[in-house]
Formats: sequence, C-alpha cells, structure tokens
Amino acid sequence: MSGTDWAMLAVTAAAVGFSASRSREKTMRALRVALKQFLNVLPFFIAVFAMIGLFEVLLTPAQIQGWLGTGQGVLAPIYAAILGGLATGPPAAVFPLGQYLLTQHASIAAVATLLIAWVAVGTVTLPAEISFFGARFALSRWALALSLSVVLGLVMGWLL
Amino acid sequence: MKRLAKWSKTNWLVWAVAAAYVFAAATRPEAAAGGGIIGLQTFGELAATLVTVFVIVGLFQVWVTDDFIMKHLGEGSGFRALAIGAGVGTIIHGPLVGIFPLLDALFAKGARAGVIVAIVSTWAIKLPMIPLELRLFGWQFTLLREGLLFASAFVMAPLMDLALGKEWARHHRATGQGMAGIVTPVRISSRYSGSIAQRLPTMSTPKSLVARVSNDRSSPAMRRVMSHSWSGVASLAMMTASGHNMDMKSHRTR
Repeated sequence: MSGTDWAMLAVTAAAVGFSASRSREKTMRALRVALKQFLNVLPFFIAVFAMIGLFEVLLTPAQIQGWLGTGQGVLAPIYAAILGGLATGPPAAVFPLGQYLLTQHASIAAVATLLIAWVAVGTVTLPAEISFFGARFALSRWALALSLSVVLGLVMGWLL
Repeated sequence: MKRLAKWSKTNWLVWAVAAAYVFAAATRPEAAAGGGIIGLQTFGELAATLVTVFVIVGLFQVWVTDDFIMKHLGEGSGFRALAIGAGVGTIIHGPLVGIFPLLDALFAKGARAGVIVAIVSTWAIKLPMIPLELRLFGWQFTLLREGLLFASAFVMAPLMDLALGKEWARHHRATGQGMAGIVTPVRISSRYSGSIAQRLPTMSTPKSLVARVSNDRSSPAMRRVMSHSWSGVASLAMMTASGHNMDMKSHRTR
C-alpha cells in the first residue's frame, strides 16, 4: 500500500461519506452496484493478471521492445491499435496490461494507443452499431477512432 | 449452456489464458507457477485501487442519472451548455452498445452526426477509471491522455460530418434505417445496467422507444445543443466567449 493508495482510499471514503449524507439509500445502492460490477468483471481481471504473469515469465523485455518499442517507430502504435481495437473487455482491465508493457520497454506511444483503442474502437460492437446507424456511419467512426488512437498515441509519445 | 456461452463471450480471455496456462504447465511447469505468482502479486498491489474504482463506478451509476444530466444541461446556456453537452459523453456510463438506443433517439430528434460522434468520443473517457490510471501511469500521463481524448471529440465530430456528407443525416432519418435494428437494442438493454437503458422499455415498438427517450431529452437546452451544426456551435462558442449575448434559435438548422 503506497501513499497514493491511501490518498485514493481517503478520497473515495470522503465521496461515500458525502453521498451518504445526501442519501443513505442511494449510497447503499451504489455500494451494491459496485460489488456486483466488481464480481462481474473479476474473472476477466484475474485472466488479465494471470496473463501478465505468464508474459513476464515467458517473454523477455527485449521481445516486447522489438514489437512495441520506440525502435519500431510508427509501427508500434499501429500494432497496439490493432491489438486494442480487436480485443474487448472491461475498460479497467487494459490499464494493468498497459503498465506491464510500459515496464517492458514498450513505447509510450504504443501504450497510450492501446489504452485508447481498447475503449474507443469497439470492433466487436460494430454489428450493433451498424444496425442502429448504418454501415457508413459505423465504419467511418470505426476507422476514425482507430486512426485517432494512433495519432493520439504518437502525440503522447512525442510529448512525454 | 446458453449462459455459459454468453459468459464465455464476455470473458473470452479467461479461456485463452487458462489454455495458455495448461500449455505452459505441460511444457514448462516452473514458468506456469512463476507466472501465477507474479499475477497474484500484481493483483494484490492493485487491490486497493480496484476498490476505489468500483466504489466510484457505483456512485456514478446511482448519482449520474438522465435526470441529473438534464437538470445540469438545463441550467446554463451558450458556452456553458455546449461544454456540458460535450461533457455528457464523459459521464455516460455502461458499455457502448448500451448507449446506442439513446444516441439513436437523439439522432431521430435532429442531432447532427458530429454531435453523436462527440458523445461517443468523450464516452471513451472513463472518469471512475482515473484513480487506476493515476496509480499506474502517474499524473502527467493521465492528465495528458484524458485531455487529448476530450479534445479529440472536437476533431472527430467535424471529420465525421465530412465523412458522411450533408445528405447522409437527412437520408438516414428519412429511411428510418436506424430503427431497423430494434431487435438489437431490446436484447442489449436488458443486459445494460445503466440508468439510461433502464428507462427504455424492454419490449417496445420503435416508435415508442423513440418517444420515450426523446421525451426525456426534450428540454430546450438539450435540443439546442443537439441540433446545432458544428460550425454553428463553434461560432456560438466564440461569440459567447467574447461576451455577445445571442439568441441560439438563429442558429437552428432544422
């Protein structure tokens, strides 16, 4: 437990306290929702952490650097965009994965792209989106989101 | 069996990782064990942050309701309404498919494609996830990424307007193509736990779906934000910022 952890827990506790002072009933409902959502995504989370563990043992930093490192230039965020765009999962699950890749010398651009593409692209939800807005809208949005994740990733890599 | 299939669809990674572990255990047992331990350690390190994240998710679900959004949209005008309008996407929660019915209803109501895209873009900002991002990546990375994501909504919107062309929106509305997908939202909304889909009828005709949501969303401020073209919105924002008092109706596109 680091200092940041304690600070965040304190802020959360304060938020819950404030919420309870406004409405005890709503706050209880919020906590039940929190627990339910957490249990819902728990299997996926466990899988992500188990995957990170396995990667850590089986892959060397050099391999990850070769794929997603700065040496790859623009290719690294493009790989990351494809990875993040195709995969689906709870938004929170991508953060530990991204941080792991960053510690293994993946470029900042690639990691930022992965984080953005994971939530913003939504390849799996494309059929639903097409049925609502038509293929033209859905595919344009998909393509724009995918390219934007790469562009934003590159900007982040350039700035940081 | 059906439930297992559904569960597996969301949790595909569980099977993939389990298979990888079985394979690793068979070929390199010490690697599988080591990987498992490292995984557990990483999970343990983040446990406190995850508690934070999910408590905030819960608070959001309870407090950020449609009514909440509407109330605050109704308060301001001009630039304030615009900023809050862009912020709608930031605080909307639940999976992307869950907000499609709402977006489609907005669209049927006359919202520009760009505005829909702006909401979808800022939807990628997950406010409750910020503690997790802060913990793992630090202030600089987090602030820059969230800031860029928010700004990107204003780039995505005009680009989408450009990609779709002026005629598209009118054509889409006229053919009612969007509502052909009514089977999908019914299935999805029952799965979606957010406040917006809860208000949608689980079994309904397309018409009543539109009516239900658009009645909810028909406050004047919302209509104003949604029905402006992007150039209109931009000039509006500039004029408001420079202190001009103006009537938004003059910028109505429909």
